[in-house]
Amino acid sequence: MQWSGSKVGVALLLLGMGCVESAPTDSSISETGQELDVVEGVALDPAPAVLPRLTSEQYHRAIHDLFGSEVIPPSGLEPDSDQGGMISVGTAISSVSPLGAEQYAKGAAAVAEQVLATPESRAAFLPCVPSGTVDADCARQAIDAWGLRIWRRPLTGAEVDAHVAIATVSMETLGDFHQGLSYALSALLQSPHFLYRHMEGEAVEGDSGIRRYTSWEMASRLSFFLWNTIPDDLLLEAAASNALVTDEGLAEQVSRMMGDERSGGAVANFFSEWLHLYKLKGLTKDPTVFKHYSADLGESAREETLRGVEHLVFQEDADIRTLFTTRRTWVNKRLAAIYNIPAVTSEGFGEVMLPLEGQRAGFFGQVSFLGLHAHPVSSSPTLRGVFVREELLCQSVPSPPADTNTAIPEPSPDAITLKDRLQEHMTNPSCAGCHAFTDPIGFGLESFDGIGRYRILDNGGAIDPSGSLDEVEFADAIELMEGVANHPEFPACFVEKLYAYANSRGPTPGEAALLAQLTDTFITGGHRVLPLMEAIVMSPGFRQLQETTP
Amino acid sequence: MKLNRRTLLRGMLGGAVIGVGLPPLEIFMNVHGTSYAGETADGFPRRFCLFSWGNGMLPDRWVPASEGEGDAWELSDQLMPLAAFKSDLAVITGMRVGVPNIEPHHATAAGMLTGMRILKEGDDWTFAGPTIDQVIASEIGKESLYKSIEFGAKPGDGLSFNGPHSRNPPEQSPLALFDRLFGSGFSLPGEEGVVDPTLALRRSILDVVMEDMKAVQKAVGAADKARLEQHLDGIRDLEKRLAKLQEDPPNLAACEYPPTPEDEYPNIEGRPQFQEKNKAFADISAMALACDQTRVFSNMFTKPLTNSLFQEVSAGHHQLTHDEPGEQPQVHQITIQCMEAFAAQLESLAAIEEGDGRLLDHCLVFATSDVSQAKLHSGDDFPILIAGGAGGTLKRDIHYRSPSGENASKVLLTMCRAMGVDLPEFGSDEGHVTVGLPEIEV
Repeated sequence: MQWSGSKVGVALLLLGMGCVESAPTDSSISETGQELDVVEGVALDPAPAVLPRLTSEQYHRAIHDLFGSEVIPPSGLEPDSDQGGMISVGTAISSVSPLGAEQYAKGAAAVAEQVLATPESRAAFLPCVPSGTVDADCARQAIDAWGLRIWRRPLTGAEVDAHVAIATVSMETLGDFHQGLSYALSALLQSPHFLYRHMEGEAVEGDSGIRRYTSWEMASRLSFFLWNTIPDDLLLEAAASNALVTDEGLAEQVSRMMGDERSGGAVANFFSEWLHLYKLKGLTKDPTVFKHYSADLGESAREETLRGVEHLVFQEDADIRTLFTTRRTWVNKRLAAIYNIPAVTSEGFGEVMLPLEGQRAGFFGQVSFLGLHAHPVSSSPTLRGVFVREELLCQSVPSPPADTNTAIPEPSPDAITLKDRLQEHMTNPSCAGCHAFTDPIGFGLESFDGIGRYRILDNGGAIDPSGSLDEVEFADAIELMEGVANHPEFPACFVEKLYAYANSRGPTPGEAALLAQLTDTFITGGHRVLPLMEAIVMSPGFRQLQETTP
Repeated sequence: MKLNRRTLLRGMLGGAVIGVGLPPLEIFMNVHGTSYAGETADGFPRRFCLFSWGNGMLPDRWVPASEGEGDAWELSDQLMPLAAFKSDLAVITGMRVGVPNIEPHHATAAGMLTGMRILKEGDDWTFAGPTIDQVIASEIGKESLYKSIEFGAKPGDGLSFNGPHSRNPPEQSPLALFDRLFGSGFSLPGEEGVVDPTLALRRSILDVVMEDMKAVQKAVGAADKARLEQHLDGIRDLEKRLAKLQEDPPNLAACEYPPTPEDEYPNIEGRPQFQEKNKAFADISAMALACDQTRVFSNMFTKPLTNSLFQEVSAGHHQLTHDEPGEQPQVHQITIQCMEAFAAQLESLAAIEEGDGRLLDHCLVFATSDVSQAKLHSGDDFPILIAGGAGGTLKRDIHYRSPSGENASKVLLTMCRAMGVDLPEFGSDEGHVTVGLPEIEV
């Protein structure tokens, strides 16, 4: 990720091997840890606004929140693209293709047509009863009301006029009020004011140095971060009263929103991005090698992880590092078979406690991790190690050098297992730099094959699951999990990921002090997710911006 | 549902039989009645097709043993699936993609397709400029319904870029591509343009949307301006299409419905139905050219780094390129399957008669990969194939082997010129060239 840079001792060690590209800056570890007031008193150089486009999920949720579950949203939309693994960041960088523009237009027309198709639907969504085939006043009322919710701000007079004009011409041409009005609704739904989140901010009166997001902009920022969808009526009311630029008004809405069930979907979405769970949809394994593979395994695995996240974050408000050590999980029959435990329910998912004496625990013991970071036919200590470095510790793993023979040595009597062969591989100095950074982490998980089944043999040789994580030796998977959970760089990395998610961009150097302070707050508060989300929202990093120079 | 074109036409014209071999092609004339740049000698437009596959080849089994034209050269092991097209083929070997190889697979793919270095931002990357298909489409794609189309059996995010962070995402479903190109709104030759009052209304929506877009553009920074401009381009394309729907469709003899694809192509034994899906795409895309819905397409068969399981092999493609010992017979087998897919694309283009020849004769089909030898992530001795000869502007039935590891961008420049896109230079930095590859030019 563009903002990642390695921080402490490990990075220094690796510099000598030519593996870590940039010198550590130590930017996210607080020097003092004294400034506990998150809102005031932090040196902050706010970043300019970004222009995120709604993700596919946000688009779908928005249509659902606007028009209910009867209206079917379009199936084809411009695909989400990630930046540093995160879709929320990629969506503020990538462009819309010609195909995407076509799909937005088609999708908007299809939604608008459905909304105005039946008498029931018209009654539910029209604020007035049309007086005839052409009724500009009724069209105006509808466009006013829809526009506020769809664009997440009031429309200007000129904007309303432009859409009323579309509606009336269409009504005249088609001789039908509802069909005609659907063209205006279609226009609202393919507008950049719906598809993008454009923010300009405003100067703060009496404080010439500070520029903040407007109350309307804050409503969208809150709803997409805390709910992963558009604002509801209460939030729009708060925006209209300018409450969201005040501490009290903001805190009140945050508290209300965190208690709403929509926050569950948003937290799940963050974890899905951070842990790459969205990639599980395409999980493919060779069924001739893995008898337990089925096409829906990836979806099952995602469900397992997200149920655990929901429990930790919302039921227990637990230390999120428990994610890596807990024996509690939720399995269906397929997952139970892979984990070699009795299925607790014949349908759907049931809660289980994994055996205490076993090697399986936490996220690293799940198919979500073990299966995704592996090959279609085998495990990969390298891929597993890269994920830990990049996503859990925010360290950069350079690409392999070009024009080097990358072949792993073939199995031999001296090197039977993949671990043995990789260790032999590391005797090549041009490979060792990076593989020594990643593979020893993955060695701890070699007790699990490419789909996540426990095993004691690899290629007929006994597996030795010992390894090391930044000079700390571990004996097996369980010790590795504890090592990652207690790694000194994990809290800052988690804060960085959540902050990036909240802002649809990576942190800038001007935000280093703020991130350090958020990290301190996160640690002293017991590594809990919901308080961190709240702290991010209340922080000036979420509320202030730098003016854009067009 | 498969529609029979002849039945349709007969029904429409009261049983009159339509003569085949319609004369070329007033439709290919522009409004001034003169022909377009890039038109072939027999009056047809030149079309550009890209076929790409992931993870390269094995140079020892890829490079033909002898050089020259006609009988002087023979196909190599890995090119044998193209036997039926030897006389259509220019095999170019020994060329070098010399951009810094800082992102294995993608850096060399960027070098081959853009002539530029990959743009690296931290651990992320994007292409720095437009890929060759879009460079050419910007010139020759203006008159067709779609500037270009992109698809692939297992294409990932695709390799067709308009510029940084601006991809053209490939269609992954043949049926979706079929519906888009041949669904409602498509008219066969001989049919009349759609008389539909909603077309004007839909255009009025787009006008308002574009005004909104421009208003936002004024208030954002340079990068976001460019993003919105890209989005605007898409809307302008859409507006153009709506206008064209009202015109009579092109009077093209060869245009008919392609076979309707399957709804889905589910994996069998964990292995995608690569060939079946590719065949469906090949037929649809060839007919899209014949009906002049587009003049440029990219068939991104598999993506760089693909780790998919192919038929008859025991592990994922990318893993095998690094882990398979010895001469890598399984990697070889996969390359053969990729070339079979390329052959299927050529077959679809060759099966359509156009003028006195085949559609393929009016095409330039450029096939390449993201690396040469995947095990080494190498940019040397890059795989480059050209089929079709672009209406007689490029040599066919030739193996040219560069004696000196020439800059692969020379091929890009030569292809542009062969397509009637007259550029003085191509690429930048290590990929920059001002001369093409005269050895393959006619």
